[in-house]
Amino acid sequence: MFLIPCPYCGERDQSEFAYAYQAHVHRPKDPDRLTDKEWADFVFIRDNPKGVFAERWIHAAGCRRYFNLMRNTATDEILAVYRIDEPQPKVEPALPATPSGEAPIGSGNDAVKVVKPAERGS
Amino acid sequence: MSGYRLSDGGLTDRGTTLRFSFDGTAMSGHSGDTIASALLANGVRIVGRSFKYHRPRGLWGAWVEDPNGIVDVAWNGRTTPNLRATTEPLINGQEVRSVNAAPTAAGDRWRKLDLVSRFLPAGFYYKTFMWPRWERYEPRIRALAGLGRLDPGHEPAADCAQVNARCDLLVVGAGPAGLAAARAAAARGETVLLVDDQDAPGGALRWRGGTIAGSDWRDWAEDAVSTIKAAGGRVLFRTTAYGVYDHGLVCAWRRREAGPDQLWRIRPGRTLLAAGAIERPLTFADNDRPGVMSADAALRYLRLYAVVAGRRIAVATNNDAAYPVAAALAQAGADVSVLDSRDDSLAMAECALAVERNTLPSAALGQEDLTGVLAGDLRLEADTLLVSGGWTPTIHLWRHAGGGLRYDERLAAFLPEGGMPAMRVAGAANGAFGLAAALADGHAAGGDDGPAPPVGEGHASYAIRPAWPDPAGSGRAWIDQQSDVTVKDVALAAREGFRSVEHLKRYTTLGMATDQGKTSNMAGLAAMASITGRAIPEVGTTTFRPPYVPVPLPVIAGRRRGQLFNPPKRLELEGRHREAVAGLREYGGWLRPSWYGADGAAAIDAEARAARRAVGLLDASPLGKIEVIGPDAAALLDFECYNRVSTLKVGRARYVLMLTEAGIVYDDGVVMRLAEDRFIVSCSSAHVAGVRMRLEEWRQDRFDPARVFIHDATAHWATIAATGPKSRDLLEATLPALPRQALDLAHMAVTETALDDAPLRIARVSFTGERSYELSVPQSAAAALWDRLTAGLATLGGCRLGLEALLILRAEKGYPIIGKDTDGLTMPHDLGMTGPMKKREDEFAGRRALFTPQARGADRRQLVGLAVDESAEPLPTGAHGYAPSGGRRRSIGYVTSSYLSPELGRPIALALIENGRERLGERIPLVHLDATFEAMVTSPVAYDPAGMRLDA
Amino acid sequence: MLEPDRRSPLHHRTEISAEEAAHLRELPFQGKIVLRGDAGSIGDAAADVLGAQLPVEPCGSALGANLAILWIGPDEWWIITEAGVERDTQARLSVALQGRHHQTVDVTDYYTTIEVAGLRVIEMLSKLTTLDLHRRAFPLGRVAGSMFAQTQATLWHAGSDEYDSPSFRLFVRWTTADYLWCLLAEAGREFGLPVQEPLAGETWRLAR
Repeated sequence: MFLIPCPYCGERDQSEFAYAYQAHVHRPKDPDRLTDKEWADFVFIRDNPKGVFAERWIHAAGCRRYFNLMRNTATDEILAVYRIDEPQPKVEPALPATPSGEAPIGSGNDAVKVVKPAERGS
Repeated sequence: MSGYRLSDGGLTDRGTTLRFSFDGTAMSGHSGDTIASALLANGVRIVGRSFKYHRPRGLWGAWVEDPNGIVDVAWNGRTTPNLRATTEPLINGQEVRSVNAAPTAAGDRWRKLDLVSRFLPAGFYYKTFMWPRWERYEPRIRALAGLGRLDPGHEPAADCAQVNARCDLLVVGAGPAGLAAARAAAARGETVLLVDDQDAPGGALRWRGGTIAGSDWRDWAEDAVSTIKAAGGRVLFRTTAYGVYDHGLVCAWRRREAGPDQLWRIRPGRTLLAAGAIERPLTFADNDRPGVMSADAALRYLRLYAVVAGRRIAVATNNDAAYPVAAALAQAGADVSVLDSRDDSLAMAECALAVERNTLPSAALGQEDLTGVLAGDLRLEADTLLVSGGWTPTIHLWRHAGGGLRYDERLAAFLPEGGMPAMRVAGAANGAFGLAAALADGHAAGGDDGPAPPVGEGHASYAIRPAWPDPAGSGRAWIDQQSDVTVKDVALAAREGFRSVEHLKRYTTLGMATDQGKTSNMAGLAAMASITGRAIPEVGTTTFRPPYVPVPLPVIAGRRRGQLFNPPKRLELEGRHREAVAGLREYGGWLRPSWYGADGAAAIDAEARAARRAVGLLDASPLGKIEVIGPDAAALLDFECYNRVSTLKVGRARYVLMLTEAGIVYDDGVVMRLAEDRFIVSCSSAHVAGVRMRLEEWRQDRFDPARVFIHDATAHWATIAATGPKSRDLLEATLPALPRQALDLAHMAVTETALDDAPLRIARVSFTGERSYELSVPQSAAAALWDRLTAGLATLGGCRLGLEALLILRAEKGYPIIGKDTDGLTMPHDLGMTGPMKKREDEFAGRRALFTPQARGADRRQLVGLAVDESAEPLPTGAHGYAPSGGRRRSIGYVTSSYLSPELGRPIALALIENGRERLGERIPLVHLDATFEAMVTSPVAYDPAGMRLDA
Repeated sequence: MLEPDRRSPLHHRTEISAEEAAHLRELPFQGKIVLRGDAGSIGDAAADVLGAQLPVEPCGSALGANLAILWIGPDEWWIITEAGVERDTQARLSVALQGRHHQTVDVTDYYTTIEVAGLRVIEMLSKLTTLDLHRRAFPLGRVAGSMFAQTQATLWHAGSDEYDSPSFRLFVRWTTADYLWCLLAEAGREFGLPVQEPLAGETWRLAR
């Protein structure tokens, strides 16, 4: 269960929220001008990155507001939270990657990597 | 038989004698014993059998690390399988039974299996029983294995509470490091939650002892606990923090003597892991003999329970931590000798006992029981061999949280590496071995920059010289005692290419037993390193996954059982329905009447007839009532609905579909316009939450949120529907105060009025095809309204109408239920609703998708009726219509609803059939399981196709 | 007459108590009006009717003339009134707010109110919700919607009980009120609250 900082109510448990898919997916202004494939892309195709992802949530059990957040999908670290009418902020994952390349926080299910002696610098 | 209890000492309550039995033999112990300490005190050596070879197994550890002491415990008439003897408290009357053994652990009838063990290497079962099918052999092989036996009569109570907790600092482990840290943080005013799996503070101090801040460690520990409590913190004993989950959530299993166990879900500001370290075994031939035990465990049995592991004891070690054990056992009266892999050390120099230097065991002697130790040329007689292969820091939770590791050559152990914002590790878990180092590490981790409490003498050295498994060693040397994995199995895995430590684990099952490799993983990966010529850190560790210890499922399930499992939504009128002998079932999350009366089938039949001939009274309260208000309300609903809403006149209602952006029918419902800027969306009861979310997202994302508001008022209103040709008569007779214009409402009209003082909304909406009135009043007035309406039923020949009869009535009319008579491909024109897509030029959700080649295809599955002979049984729901295709059957759709119509006296069915409307009159074959049928494709409307009855 | 026969969802339950440790009762028929709108636009006119400004601080509340105003969302408040005056309050609001974009919905019968109070009340509630109820995080006047076991409800730290322990009001849906009542009693069982047997469930199932 994540701890999600609702931009209105503050930090709450994930059980109060519902996921509402990728953020910044704008409904085409004039769908009739789109080819079938373009429309299908709008309806069905979403990004699924390992890394920073802007996604939409609703505080369903609380203030019932939709909002966007930026999450590092590799670590589940939440990097930014903002209203749906605000532009996507620029964020860098705040935590450095471990020397082996694995993310330093997460859900406990990433494979264990240990630092090889040769790679250990000062 | 060589363990025994001293006449005094230990922490058990000798005043109470607890009776128990092991494999049928009567024994006794004391309050404060674990099952394991009591078994050892009673001289039990063989506590179980190994999983694969049925080798005898004795106690290796004294706590969660022990791989062998797995027992079934019957108590109070119930058997709980696979409890761990080392952590399970002894209770009077327990019947303890060993696992993997029959009839007893000592006299197991499969013990000869070990004689053929060389034919049963790792992977033997997978390789041998592949042909022709594993399933053929599985039952018999499983009968040989499988640990404990389940008691089908034992349904544990669902009474474990789940507690959500917060704190500034969570400290895991109340040993010296954890106590020092918690104490320091509490002194700075932090709210500390300290958890420990033992029943008192101190950690290893409890058996290793020590002097802190000038007095006995107990005084200091007591003071630390009161400091924590004084600062508003809590200390939970018998509580195991077993996993770290998303965003630092820590889950802990709290065992309680008074009352059921609890699951604690802890959201700490930060977490300090001070879980100590676990002693490692040494690897030599037949090192799994009962009688070979962890040195630290032996000290624990001695100090906590006053139980001495044996009379003639050899201690084998590669570090200094085993010396206090040897000294304590010698003092307790045992005959103790020491083998040390090293040439010299501080502890060795101070040791008063005979020490064999540069020597480690090469084999344990004896058959079912240990008789001696072979160390090169040296042969020692011994009934007990205590070993210490060094210490493995308990960094499980650190790894759950994603912390890094490094291999420390000096300590021969993996240690936490790098930082994490919300977690730290301290004490032995952090490689700070020895009391002084652990205290200092914990003290600093608690945030105190000053000096740590001073400690007394004699806890300084560790001085390990690693002793890893020797792949060239003779005999069978055990690495994982519970899963029966030897050094040779690791070598076999390497030969067959399973060189990754994760592959090694899965191929040999190393570390996959109930102890999750707490004592075997290090030896296993060290063996793999040695066999493949790699350094230990190059091999790495397997993934650490929660839980740290096995957690009983009732603890995780919590209160969720019976009516508290998943609560149905309750109708205000449920009591009234029960009084009328309703059959009640869950429909779309609501507990609703299916019919009224003892005989369900007869009741459904009678209710359906009464609604067609007289009047039926339905509790329709779950129907959605989402209020949409504001100047942009009509525009929002135009976008939401397939049918245009803005052209609706005030006081009128319209049946609408709602589509997904893929053009698929999402829900249907009725939109009512109560004022220019006020609408009620009466969607289907199961879709209220979903429709509200859709509306809310469009409102916030696409519209001006200040110009339209949405609020769900579904459960505020109870809705009672009177349907049938005499529905108007019923209202007239029972609600004389009702205004005339309410009775005179036209079909699809709606009005707001009042009945006595309660607001009342009346809508002429029909789900049966008959004249119908939907009456909505606030819930608190529902019972009074229901009582008045039901009082008039009998004289009119009407009755209460359950959901099952309603389902038949609407199917007779061809009214679809979205999600039952439609699927994930159904578009509005498949239901015959083509008007809006032809006429509407404005935008609405899903519109574009209706104009794709797929949507316009000639092979779409359309909603039709299916007719069979009058005397035939109704078609099975789910039966597929098919077309023969090259000797096979190609599905052309399926039956979605099927009933026997009481009014028509014949079966009716709705179906989604490919190009169905073109097939009207065609006879199609159907198949369901092994049976075939034939039916004629018809219009979905089987009853009153002209719609004459709506105003009858 | 319908009104004199009004029934509340927990009419079949009576107050249960474990003295100062915990007590639990339904406050039936408390009026509940949802008010939606922009605070800047409707705030002053609403305050004239309600006797207090709409609280704009998230999760806050305000006390007005015999009523309370709870912040539910950035454009949503609940007006909690004494029993029986909700429709009058709603009507007066509608008049005062005429011409300004707003919505009022009577949800009096959507929810009922369970008063839960006592020395152990926070421990009890912590078994049902993930909300941080520490007095630092959830002081007097605080309001939060959250999940309580399997169902949504809104919690308001309304005051203190006769023993000076915190007193909360839990606004629960009519349809799941009995479920939460039983779970609250269950959560307080170790502090002395009596067991409350849940209502019966389904009477039949589809044959398999």
